[in-house]
Amino acid sequence: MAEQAQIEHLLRRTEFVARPARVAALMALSLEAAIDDILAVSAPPALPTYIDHNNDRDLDPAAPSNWDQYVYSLKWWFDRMAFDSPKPIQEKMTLFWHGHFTSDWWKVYDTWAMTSQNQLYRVNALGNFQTLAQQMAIEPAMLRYLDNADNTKSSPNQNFARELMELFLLGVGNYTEADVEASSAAWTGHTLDDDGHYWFRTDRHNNLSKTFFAVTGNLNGPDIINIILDKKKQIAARYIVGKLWDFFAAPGTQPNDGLDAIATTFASNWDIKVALKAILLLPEFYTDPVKQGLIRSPIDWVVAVMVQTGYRAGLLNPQWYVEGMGQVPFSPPNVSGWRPNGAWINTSSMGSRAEFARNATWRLRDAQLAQNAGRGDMGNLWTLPVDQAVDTVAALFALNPMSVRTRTALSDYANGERTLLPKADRNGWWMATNLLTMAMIAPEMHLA
Amino acid sequence: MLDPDISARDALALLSTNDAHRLDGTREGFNRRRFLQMVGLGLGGGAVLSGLDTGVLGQFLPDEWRQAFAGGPLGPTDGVLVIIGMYGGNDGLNTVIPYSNPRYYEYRTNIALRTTGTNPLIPINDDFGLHHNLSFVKALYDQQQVAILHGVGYPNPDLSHFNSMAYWMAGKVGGTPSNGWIGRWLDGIGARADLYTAGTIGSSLPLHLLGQVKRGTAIPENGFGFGGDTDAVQTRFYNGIKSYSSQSAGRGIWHDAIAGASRGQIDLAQRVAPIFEPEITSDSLAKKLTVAARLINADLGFRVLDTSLDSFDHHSGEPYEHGQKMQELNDGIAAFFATLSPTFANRVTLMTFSEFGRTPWSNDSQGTDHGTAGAHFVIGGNVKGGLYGTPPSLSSSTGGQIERWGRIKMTMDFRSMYATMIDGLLGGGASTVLGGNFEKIDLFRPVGAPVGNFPDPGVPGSPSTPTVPATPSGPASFVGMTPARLIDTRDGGAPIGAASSITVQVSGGHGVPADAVAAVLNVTAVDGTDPSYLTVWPADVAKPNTSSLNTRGGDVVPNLVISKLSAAGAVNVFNLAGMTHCVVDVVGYFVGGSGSRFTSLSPSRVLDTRDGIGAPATAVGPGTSIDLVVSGVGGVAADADAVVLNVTVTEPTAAGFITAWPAGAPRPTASNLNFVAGQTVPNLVVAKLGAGGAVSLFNSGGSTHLVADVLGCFRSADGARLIALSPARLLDTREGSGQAVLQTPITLSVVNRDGVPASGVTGVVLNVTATGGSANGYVTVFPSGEARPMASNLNTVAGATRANLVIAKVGADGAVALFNSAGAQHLVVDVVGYFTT
Repeated sequence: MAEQAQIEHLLRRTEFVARPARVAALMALSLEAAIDDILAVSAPPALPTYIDHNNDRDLDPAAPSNWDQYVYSLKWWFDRMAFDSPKPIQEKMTLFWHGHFTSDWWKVYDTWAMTSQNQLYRVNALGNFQTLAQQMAIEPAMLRYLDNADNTKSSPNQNFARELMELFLLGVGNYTEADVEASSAAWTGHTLDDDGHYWFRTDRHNNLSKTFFAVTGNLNGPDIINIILDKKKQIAARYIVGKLWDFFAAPGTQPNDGLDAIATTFASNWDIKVALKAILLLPEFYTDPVKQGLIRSPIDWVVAVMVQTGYRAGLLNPQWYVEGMGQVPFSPPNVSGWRPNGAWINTSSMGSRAEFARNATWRLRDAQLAQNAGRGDMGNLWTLPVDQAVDTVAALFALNPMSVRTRTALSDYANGERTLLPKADRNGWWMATNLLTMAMIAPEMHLA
Repeated sequence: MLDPDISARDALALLSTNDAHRLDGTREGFNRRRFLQMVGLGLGGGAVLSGLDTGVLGQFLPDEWRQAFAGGPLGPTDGVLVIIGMYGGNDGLNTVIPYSNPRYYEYRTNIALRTTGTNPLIPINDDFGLHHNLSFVKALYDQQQVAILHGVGYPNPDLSHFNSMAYWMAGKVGGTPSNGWIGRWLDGIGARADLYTAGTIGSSLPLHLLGQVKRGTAIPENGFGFGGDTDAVQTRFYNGIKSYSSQSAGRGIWHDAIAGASRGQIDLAQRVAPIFEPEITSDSLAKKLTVAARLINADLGFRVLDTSLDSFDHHSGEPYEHGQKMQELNDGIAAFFATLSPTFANRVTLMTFSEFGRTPWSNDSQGTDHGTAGAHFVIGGNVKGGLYGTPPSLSSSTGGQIERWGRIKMTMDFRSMYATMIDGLLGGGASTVLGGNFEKIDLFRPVGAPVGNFPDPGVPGSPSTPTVPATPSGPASFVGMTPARLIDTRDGGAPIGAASSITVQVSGGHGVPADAVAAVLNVTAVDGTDPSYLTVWPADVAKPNTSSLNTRGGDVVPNLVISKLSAAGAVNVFNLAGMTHCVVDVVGYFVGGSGSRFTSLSPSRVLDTRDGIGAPATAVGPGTSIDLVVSGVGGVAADADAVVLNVTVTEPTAAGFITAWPAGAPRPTASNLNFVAGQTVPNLVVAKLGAGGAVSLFNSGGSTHLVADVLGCFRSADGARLIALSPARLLDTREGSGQAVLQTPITLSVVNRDGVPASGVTGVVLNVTATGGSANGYVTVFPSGEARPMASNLNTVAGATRANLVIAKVGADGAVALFNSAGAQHLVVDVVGYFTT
């Protein structure tokens, strides 16, 4: 039997939120069995037809615009993260791969290509890393984003070839400029056809002999990935395992011995699920520096609010708020993806989170919406004793364990309003409203 | 978020390589947002942070975050730079037109601006003229406040929007920059950089405001959507959120950092909220520059404000489109100067920039394509107007036409413009910021020098000049009164800025006669931005090196102050750091001649609601008051008309304040001490007695217990009279040997020094401050040579600084003893007066 606090922490990190029903179900299991349950994903459904086709209006005048598809895809993904995936780890891992093998809608400028790439990451979320890396390299979105579509034998473009090693597989310092040149030559000709689909153009491919990591021959792009994952398997494996740790546990807390061992196994089978399971089983994953060491990214936090209010993207429209918070899906700041923790904290981004919380609060105060979401109208908070009101909002947003400081702040606020407004039937609404917003933006809520 | 793409198809066609794929129309999307994202910005996505990068995060750490919100008035010679970014590449040749040059007309047959026709350009001399929509700029030019810089660009131009803008923002050429020139200037000024030093008007932070460690602040042009309301209801709510960071939650660094950032957001939103009233009805650049001007007028400390105007990429339809942009630029500059207070007009400078100019040749679509250098404006009251630099040649090196796809050559490095701004306006450091020495342009008058029609700036909040030497008052008698509020800077006044003072008139109103020589004031610091202290002293003498109360910032701290008044009946209140609001209530005064005299009593507990002393054994409920009969109790004479109480709040369930006033009188708007839930807080209270010889005590907040010790009383029949002094510091254990006070009482001689005579002194009025203590406890001040009473004058908190007024009987040896109950504690003692028979 796992401990409740352990399971809650595990679920917050792997399923965005520790849903009470999931906590109850997993507490009946051993920790290992609970992790197996979390990671037991099945094949995701196909993308909705609205976004799953090229938006070329020359071919189909009725096709939705690229922009409309983009907005739709954002809402669709938010709903999938919050509600529609039976095993949210699949979406969490999709988000991880999107931040790792990243691409940007604003450069790719094609929603179909971006969502197609996203679906690749979803299908392979916990699959085989080598397979994923090979398919990632020839996805149209990546070919555009890192300019490999323009990489020809007569005019080489090193952008993808360089990032493949620097950011995707190895980390800086594990290759030479000569390796970049060889890799770039090997990747020539991997481009797109007029419809934006992958096309290997032999006429643009450099068929001369190249030497990469001491392997010489007429190397082609996919050979490069295989050579990296063979010759530098331990470095690559440790690099990815470390990024997984930083994403699920906390940056700056890597337990080297444990992760080195996991990397050794990962380098032998490239099984992402096995590696992640081992990470989640490390005792260090359950220590305070890890539990207290990760801030919910804007996407994480928005999804948590959606789950805990029960309101879908169509109602809360998170896509209009997340830019101010600093994280728009399909639009990372640069090729290295999003930075964790401190990057999310500044006055402007906290203001945007608070605005979204306000937006959600007003929905919470709508009795009909509350009923639809299967929950009582939070307006009755005003009629409860203060401690009970605080407990109610804390439970709603899973602020557990709640710090004394946060409880004191919530109680003081509620008590202060009571004192100033002793008549329960007068203006109590604002106390209830504000208490909900306060809880939604309490520090506990911003921590993963 | 995410505006639909602003098409720049033509731009990309020009930018692209010879690969046809780039021309398929799917890869556009260059607009300002795009630039920012590509250079690693977009709000919060800011690439500078990873893991525990405390360099930036330090602003939000519990012990340091308050430093981030300093703000505060500008010094009289602090220059302010306002940046106008023209995104997309402004056509300098159609902004400042070389109208006497025939080549101009040869290249631009379909878009040339002329001195004749329906919209003639505005000549500024025989060779150059301004776009016809720049009429306000021309008016300023005529006042010699516009410098026009010719041919500004960067070497080895790259025609890409992205790269060019990245270099301009970075202030460095080449590579993929991760920080910008203003950001590095912020880095360089160190601790003086805070949330109120550099800001952009907009919701995302551009690269030039991002440093390696520091970053600028983003202020949305419509104000913050959250945190800016200032009505009482919302303020309580925001205070609730801010209280998440009132102390460490013990949940690790990130928890506290989040709480601090939320607090910072509200602090910023509230501080800037007033500038968004009345509503700004203009739009575009005029709105942003109006916001910028109002921020400057508010004197929050901003040295750099950044604004932007986009869509300058006029590959086609330029005559109309560019005309619109010039109109927006002109209107924006006009709105700025219409809004800017004359106080700042001679130290605020506007500067334009753009990633590049445009081709000398126009194209067949009445447009121009990506070019190189362009003319830029530097505008302000301290600018020496005129044309600077060398106009780029419009001919080839052999004197013929520039070829069709040729570009003009820059004649001024953009970093010369930056160096001029940094060293001429922002206090220096250009060579460090820019990584080299660039020739500066001699276009500034000295910052702050009077110019044109603008009056001299005053020094904000400067105290009245000392005019008389510090002298003691004559012997004076006490007159107690119902408290009256003299000033509350929250009501329409400005907070007191850093190292600034306000003057508060005490006598001649509020029931205080004009001949009052000293006053008993309850002074409260409210919501200060920084750890600081206030000093209260007579308004006509130099500020002494004493303090009256200490604030950690973000709290409400009162203290009783007895101060001599200036000849005109006023006191000054000085604030050391940050900004703080201040409330001053008068509770009594001293006059020569008849009145009450002071009788010092051995401390005696007259009220303890925990034990049923003086009142029923029950907490005082919220919004209720109790009457405490003091007359005839604890040694207080039956004919006393005022008492000195040390009132302590303990176990309050919520934040609130206590008001003491004469029983039977209406409750005044005043407060004697402030508390938050769970705190134990004392304050000395001088209260006039009302009906039945009683004092009323009102509790505004949650339920709380009250404890009161009586320390003395005032009566007409007998007693000592007060001699008020200009404050003087008697003791500071941090000085000299630096020995903190342990649990052995120390003796402090208080007579025959600092204005206190050698004899005839029955008691002294001290302000005692405990600071830097290692433990929670209390301090007792008692007559030297006598047994230490079980009483406390001041409650100490480990690590905190607290002050309280103390009226102490002097021992036979002319000294008082100070006892610290726990740990090591530094004590600071100032004398403000003494009692004499």
